[in-house]
Amino acid sequence: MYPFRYERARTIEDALQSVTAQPLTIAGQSRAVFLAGGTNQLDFMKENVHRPDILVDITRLPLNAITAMPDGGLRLGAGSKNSAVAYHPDVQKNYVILAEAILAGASPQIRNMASTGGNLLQRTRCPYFRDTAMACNKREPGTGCSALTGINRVHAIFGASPQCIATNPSDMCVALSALDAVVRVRGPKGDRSIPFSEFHRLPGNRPERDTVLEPDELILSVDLPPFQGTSHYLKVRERASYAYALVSVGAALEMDGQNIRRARISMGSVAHKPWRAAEAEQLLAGKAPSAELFRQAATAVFAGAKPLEYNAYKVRMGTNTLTRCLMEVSGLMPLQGKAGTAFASSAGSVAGELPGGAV
Amino acid sequence: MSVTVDNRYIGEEAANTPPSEPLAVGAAAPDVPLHTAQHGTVGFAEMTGQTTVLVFSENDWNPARAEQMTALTNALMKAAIPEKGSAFQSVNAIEREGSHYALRIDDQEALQLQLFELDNQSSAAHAYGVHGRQALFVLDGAGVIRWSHAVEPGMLPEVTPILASLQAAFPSSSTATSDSPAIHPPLNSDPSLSTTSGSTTSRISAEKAGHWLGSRREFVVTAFAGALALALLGTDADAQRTALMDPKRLVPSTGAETIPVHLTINGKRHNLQLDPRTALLDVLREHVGLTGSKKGCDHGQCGACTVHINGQRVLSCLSLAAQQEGTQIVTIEGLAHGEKLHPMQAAFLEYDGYQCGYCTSGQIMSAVALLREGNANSDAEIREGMSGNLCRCAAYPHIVSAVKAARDSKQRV
Repeated sequence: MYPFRYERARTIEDALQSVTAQPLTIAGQSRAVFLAGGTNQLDFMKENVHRPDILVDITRLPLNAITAMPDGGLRLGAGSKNSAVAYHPDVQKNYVILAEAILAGASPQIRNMASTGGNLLQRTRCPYFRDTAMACNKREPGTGCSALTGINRVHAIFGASPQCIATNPSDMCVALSALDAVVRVRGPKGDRSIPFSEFHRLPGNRPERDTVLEPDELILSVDLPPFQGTSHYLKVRERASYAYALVSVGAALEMDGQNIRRARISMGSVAHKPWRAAEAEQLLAGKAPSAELFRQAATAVFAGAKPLEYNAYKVRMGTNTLTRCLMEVSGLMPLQGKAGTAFASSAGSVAGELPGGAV
Repeated sequence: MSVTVDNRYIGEEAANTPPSEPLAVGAAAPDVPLHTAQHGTVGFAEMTGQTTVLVFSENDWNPARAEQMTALTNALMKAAIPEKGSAFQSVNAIEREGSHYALRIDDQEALQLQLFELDNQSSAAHAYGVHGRQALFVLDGAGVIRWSHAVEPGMLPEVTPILASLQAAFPSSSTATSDSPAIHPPLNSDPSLSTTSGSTTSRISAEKAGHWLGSRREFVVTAFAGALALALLGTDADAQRTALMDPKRLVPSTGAETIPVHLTINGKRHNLQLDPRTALLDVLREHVGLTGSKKGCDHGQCGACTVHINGQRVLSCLSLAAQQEGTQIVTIEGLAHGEKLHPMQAAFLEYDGYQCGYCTSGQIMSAVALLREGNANSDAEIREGMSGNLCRCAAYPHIVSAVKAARDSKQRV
């Protein structure tokens, strides 16, 4: 880990002043970065992937609250812990997809440490990004993409570019995408509200920029609009727990009698950002749920996939997962476990328990 | 307890009550032979006559210790040209022969001292009031204690308290003023200082007694002794030895500034001076002697380093120590009440919840938190709830049994 100066911000103003006007290093890495839980930041600093000169500790800022909003929505403070969000009664009641997504990710210890803001900013798990001996345009622009001709098992099938085929690994972000959350940030030029679909970028020819957040901007909160429908998260991974998704799907369903008024569907680990399944959303609007409809919708989504040498499995796996998530969220299939828990969101056997409860 | 004759006893027959506290500055060293690790037995009379440094340490068999000692003194001798502003500003050379060291200052006569390493379980340790503790004493030629430092039982020495003690003892010396070669008599200067040893009485002449040093030289010797002793006692020799040499300006070996960090660990407050990069796990293991938390992966993937911060289970390898000011940290060492095991520890023993034991402290810390979180109602919930703790020995089935037993016991977890 490279040496750095540690500062502790007492106010949001302090924090912003500490990072404002710090020149960027080459490769777009900031000299000064904010530090909350540190589960992603410190991991990458230990690998020398991240080399900030100044760490500004923001854990003492008043950003931890989870507050009900007057319009019926919920404001998640940027400093609120993942576990606090997942177990919050309002989240468990009204935004079940978010609880299921968070609890499907990481480990209990990490969920206790990781913050809402930090989860939004977590970096890709691409092994070439993580390995400073390998060429990587995201880590060092202009050096090339080792994954393109390498082992690209966990890489993108949507929205990639020749410069970068990395995926966003966050479970929570898929849920926030399906819920159309809004990210409130503050910078030297003032406050702005960023719709979730615009927060994360596609790689294009600037893969070093994961999000539209400027280096001198601080996330204040993630705001959830009011939601009265049903929602669900389904994740496929190679281990029963504590593993990143191969593919994941989040669905938020609002009904109009027997028909679907609006379906919002987002997918994880298939692109540089949570991928809204636009084709499926259009197909489902106004229709009655059925297995055939859902499979038709899923197929339409994945018709546009661009698989690589090692990730073609994601096409079929994604199609099946999307279909199944829709079946479960609409009640055509039972959940695998209690709603709002990792047991509901983990496809396959979790903790040795087979569907139906048999161990 | 007075510091005169009453406090002394002879050789191996520690018949009288040994002091329960380390002997204080100004006390006369007890008339006991010293069974040193490397130089045989040194009698009291042989010891007196020059400045002596005694280091009491653990006597676990450590074949590397002699090597380390040799390497360290060689390094010290090579590095005898210090930075500006250091207490060793004018130390031109350090010579060593066996237990004797000569520090050459300003081309004047060298400061002579001898250093002995002693077992802290020995009767000598009893006599000095440091049985079972790591400690160092600096004695003048008359055998009077001029400076001492004893480490809390079970802890590793810390630079900050040692530096504070040095600065308190030698307030004018830390600003590297010019030397005053006055010879100061020992504190309780009785030219006919005598020892009672049953059948013999020995007298120490005034000449011998008078060999204490000018204040800056005293400081140099003591700081040197402290540095050497810290290295022997197993602290992070590099950064902390350098720090000890210059109390005013800590010169870290890594190029980063160190910062003060105050941590509360198992209810006890620690005042540390750390490289900002130091993870909580490394503070626990390397700085405060709490090696119960293990480093399995150092990247937050295995859970062996799990501790509680403000009652929540977290990974100490991914927790920056500097961020933990004001938090309550509890480690595996903080679970038991003295000799009474925590119910989870007892359950792990009863249900054989470990094989090699390396993941076990993390498993126990995680399990205790899991029960307090309240989501351990079924086997599946327990396994999912413990999924952040890996066990390469695959003791999982017994771990689940232990967690269930602790959950179902009448005891509060």
